[in-house]
Amino acid sequence: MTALAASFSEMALLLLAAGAAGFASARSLHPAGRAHRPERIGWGVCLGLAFLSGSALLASLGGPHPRVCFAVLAVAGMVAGRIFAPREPGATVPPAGRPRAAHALLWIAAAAGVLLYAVRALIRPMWSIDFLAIWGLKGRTIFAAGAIPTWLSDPRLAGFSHPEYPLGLPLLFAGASGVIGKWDDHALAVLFPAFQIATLAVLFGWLRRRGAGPGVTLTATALLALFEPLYSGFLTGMADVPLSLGMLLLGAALSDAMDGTDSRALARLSVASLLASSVKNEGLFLAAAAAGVAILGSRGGGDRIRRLKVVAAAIFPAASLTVLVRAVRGAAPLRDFDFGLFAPSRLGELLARAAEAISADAHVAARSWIFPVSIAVLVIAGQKAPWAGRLLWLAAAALAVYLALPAFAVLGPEWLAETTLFRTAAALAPLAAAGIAGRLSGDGRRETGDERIKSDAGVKGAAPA
Amino acid sequence: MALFAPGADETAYYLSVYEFAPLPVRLNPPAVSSGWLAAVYGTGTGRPAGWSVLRDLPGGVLMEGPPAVSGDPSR
Repeated sequence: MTALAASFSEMALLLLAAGAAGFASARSLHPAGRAHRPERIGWGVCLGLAFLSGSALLASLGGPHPRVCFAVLAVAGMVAGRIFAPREPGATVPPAGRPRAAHALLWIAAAAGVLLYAVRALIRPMWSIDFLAIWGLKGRTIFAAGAIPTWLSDPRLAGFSHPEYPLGLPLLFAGASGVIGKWDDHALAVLFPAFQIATLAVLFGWLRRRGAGPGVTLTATALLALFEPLYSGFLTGMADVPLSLGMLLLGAALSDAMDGTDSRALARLSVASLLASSVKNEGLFLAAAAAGVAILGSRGGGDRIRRLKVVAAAIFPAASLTVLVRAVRGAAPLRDFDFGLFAPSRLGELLARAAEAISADAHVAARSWIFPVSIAVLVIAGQKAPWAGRLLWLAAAALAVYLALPAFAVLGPEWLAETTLFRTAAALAPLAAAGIAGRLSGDGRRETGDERIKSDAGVKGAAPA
Repeated sequence: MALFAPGADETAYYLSVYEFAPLPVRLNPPAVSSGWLAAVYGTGTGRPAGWSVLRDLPGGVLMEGPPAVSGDPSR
């Protein structure tokens, strides 16, 4: 076996161990049964990777070796999964109906998407500039130093690596490397196909559980798997792929919590809020947007206490993490942006910048027109489905911010739009896929007859959205 | 690690920062703190006075400066 094959094998084994521990831990987040199983697999991957990140964090704070920390976290998670496993029976899955050749083809397409991304991600060590300058640099530094050196927060020494970014992904790199015992930026790329598989599992499982038919669910899953703008070699090593998973978890859990689908929806929302905000600053914004959707989407009906719980579950974990990190590491400014443009004396400059940003955004959108046009057509073709529409609102809120931010870019609107707009918007694909597929399914009856989710006795019924 | 490399672009800088981690790296800094090392590249640059060569590197030298050196040694 070559050294590279041995490194890949070690990383794959570590991922299997982390995923298994995460799957057992995710018992506390999902009722038992087939309906929740695909999502539990996705959540299991996330929790397992979170244990790896946590192991690096604990070790950097003076704890024992990351291997010991990982074992402790994994065992603690599994014990918690057993103790807090919900007693309620899970929802039933709508019957898939007769097997169709088209479904088999869609499964093959989804598998091909996973295989193609694995090739793109693993063909060479992670290489993008942002990996070298930000995510990989921090991960390698934390791993090699066995600590989080203060110079990583020093703008003179590491300003280019954005000290204001959360450390979730670098800690994951450091944790996985710490457990294995070496830094291998080629083998670490295996983490990214794992993120993709988790995303597809959550997308598929959530759509089926919420009543979408197998055809539309599999189509959404296959199209997302084949979506190269997100699952590219360039983005491998950067935070966009894990953030896209975090945003999907957040959106799905938000919708479940608003509808009261099961007793663990609020817990999933809280954990998703924490995970998303630990990866990128947008995670905090998405958590706030989720709280906004919960408030606006419940107007005129619903249980007020439950609405408050949903809002708190969405925003509190992300906000708490942000405050805690700022208290410990200090507040680092968003160095790419000049929000002083909001000053009344600079109103004219702001308007000129806004016009420049609109032009730059339009230029990027025109170059990749097929995506916005397709999304607009599919959204219009769907029907009203609040459970799915909430995810589209979240994606729209994030997109609005991505479109507006170039106006505040220190290096100019064109620079930010050209360098980041397409890839950051691509990370919204899982949210968009779930929302659009849900709208195309409507209430889930159209494709497979009356197959709406039937909650078993003891499960709270769906509340008006 | 202070890196004196005339003409080095951002990409080269980021790659060197990544490769040297967990040591912090500055590219062509105007001043170097005590305890730092300097990798000096390029044939057209004079070696800073008072610095000692630790070893030759391909295309340059690895140098150790006296404590609290200031100024750009590549000049």
